[in-house]
Amino acid sequence: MSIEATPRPRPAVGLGRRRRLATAGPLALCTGLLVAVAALSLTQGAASIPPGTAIAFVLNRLPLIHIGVEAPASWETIVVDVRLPRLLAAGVVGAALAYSGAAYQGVFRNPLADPYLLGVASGAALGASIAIVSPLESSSYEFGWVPLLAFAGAALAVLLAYGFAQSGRTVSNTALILAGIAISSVASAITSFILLTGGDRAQPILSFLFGSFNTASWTRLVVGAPYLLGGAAVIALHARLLNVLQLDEEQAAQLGVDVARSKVILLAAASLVAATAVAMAGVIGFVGLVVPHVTRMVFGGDYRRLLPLAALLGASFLIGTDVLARTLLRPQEVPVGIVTAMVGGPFFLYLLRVRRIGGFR
Amino acid sequence: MYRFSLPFRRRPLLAAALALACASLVLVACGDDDAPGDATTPTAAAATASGGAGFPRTITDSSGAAVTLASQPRRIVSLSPAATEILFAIGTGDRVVGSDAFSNYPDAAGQTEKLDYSKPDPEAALALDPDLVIMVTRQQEQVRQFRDLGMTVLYFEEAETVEGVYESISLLGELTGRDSEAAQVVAGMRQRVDALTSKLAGVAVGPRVFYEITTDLYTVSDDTFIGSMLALLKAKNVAAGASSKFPQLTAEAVIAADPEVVLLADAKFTNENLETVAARPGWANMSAVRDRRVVAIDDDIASRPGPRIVDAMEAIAKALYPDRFP
Repeated sequence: MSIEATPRPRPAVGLGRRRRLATAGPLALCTGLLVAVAALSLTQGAASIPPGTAIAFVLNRLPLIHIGVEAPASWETIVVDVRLPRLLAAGVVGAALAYSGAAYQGVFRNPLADPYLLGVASGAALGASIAIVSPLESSSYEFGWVPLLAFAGAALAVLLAYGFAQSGRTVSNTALILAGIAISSVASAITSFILLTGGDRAQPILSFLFGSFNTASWTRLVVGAPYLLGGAAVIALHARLLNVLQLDEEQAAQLGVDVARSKVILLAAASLVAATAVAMAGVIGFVGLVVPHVTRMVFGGDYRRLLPLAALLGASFLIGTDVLARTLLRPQEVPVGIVTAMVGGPFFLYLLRVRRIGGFR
Repeated sequence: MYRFSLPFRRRPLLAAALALACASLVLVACGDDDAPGDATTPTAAAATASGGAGFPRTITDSSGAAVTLASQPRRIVSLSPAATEILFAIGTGDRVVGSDAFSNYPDAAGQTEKLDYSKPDPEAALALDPDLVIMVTRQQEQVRQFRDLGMTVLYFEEAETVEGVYESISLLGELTGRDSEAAQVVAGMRQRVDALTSKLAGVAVGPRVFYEITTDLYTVSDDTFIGSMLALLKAKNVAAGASSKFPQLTAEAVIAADPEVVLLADAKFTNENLETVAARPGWANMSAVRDRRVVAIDDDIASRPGPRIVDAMEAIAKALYPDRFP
């Protein structure tokens, strides 16, 4: 892929020195936000644990740090074994959804694209539903059958959508989107059917459809991480390509980009990331659609910068909304997918109004 | 700043696509009706009888309607698993010709003609030529439809307390001319419940208990049938203060409440047990896990306000007070 030969860089494709320099500031800003939200998350919950104590428990897990803490043993359990994996799961999934969402939007050059466009969410929901109502042994806390079949369902949905949309070697975006919608509708219909006929047994399907981190565990994080990191690495390596794809496909081809091949690679990697995220936490809407937009509005559309910033902001956003999910009705839980839309929607509308963003002419 | 220019030639198509996607999501979300939260407000079946023994009889049901039965019903359609169990318990099971899909106890009930529970088809009911259709909370919206088609419908709100179950049994006894059998069943249940509670007379404060419906920690509040049983057994439900009937607790809240007993109503679907519960992050040091007091409960029995609730109550009592109920 010889995109080095870009003759006359356009703003969105710009590789100039000025842009490169501007990356450190935003990165520091978004990382700072993430650390702040993470600290907030560690100190909030159903149990009243003094914030300083909670932070100390976590810092003590780092090498060379020993802060004397006098507190009941159950507090340390709550902070380290419950809040911390939950915080990390929310961060990882938020980052994954925003990251894959940005890639989807880039590939489709379409602001309505999100990581669920090709059926990842409905395919995963169907897979999870089948696992839930089947006699397969399953524990919510480990990476058992539910996330496994969810992942398989998501992958299968995307493959089917791609297969149906393909004609010859090329795939038109429109055909792909339509195929994705059709596959999603079929999968959702079957899920609804299972939900209606499954009786009591089907109840956990609803939890999957709204997403939750209530059963986050270290096991899940460790099993999911390789897929997330692998997919994200592939996308990161193609960040420049995403910039070029923002041109007309013909122009991109003239620049020596194999558009069809790039699309396959990027979509496969983004779908892998999204499917893993959904398998880990259920269907959490809105993050993958809106966080990339917000990032783009604030920091511009160069994918080399957009991708990492979207991941950081996605992590912060989902950790923050999960804090609300855990504390709004304390000691009860609100499905986090509901909170993301309730909180994120108005904020996004505000940004739309204030920034009058370019893509929405 | 934002100069990300997007070709938007396909906008109408995509708008439609999004709408479609949203619609399908909404459809899925509508399945929420099936959540356990659909139980009704705690009202005992408020039915009063008029007329003496023998038929015709007129009974005022939970909808306020006066239901008149010209003669003892011979072809009954029961659309509630609890009502079906009651009918069999009072010895009129042989007259049940149709029942809802969840009516699976006793075995004979499973062999009657089956109708849907949440949206029973009136045509299928008519085809059974019933002289009495028993409908409950879930089918409230359809009561009128069934009556307009000429069927005799008794509507009652399913009980959410033990006393309410007794009333349901008496009501169905009256309705089917099995008054004395119903009174016997109730008396038998009362006796067993009294036996339970008398053994707990010396208990001032029972154990803290977490009643798990699903592994993602849906549970019951005090305003549910199961909650009322726990209260009767003097257990302290850790979800007592929750604002909904079937709340989902955060894992942290359960751990912080440190239940002394965990009852697993989800065990039969998920194979949860002491070991899997102990392996959950942060659960290992919980009192219930340390003292190995994590017990599977068959909530098919516990969640049905019928005659078998006493079985469920005994099982729960045994789990809560193993020393008192050896």
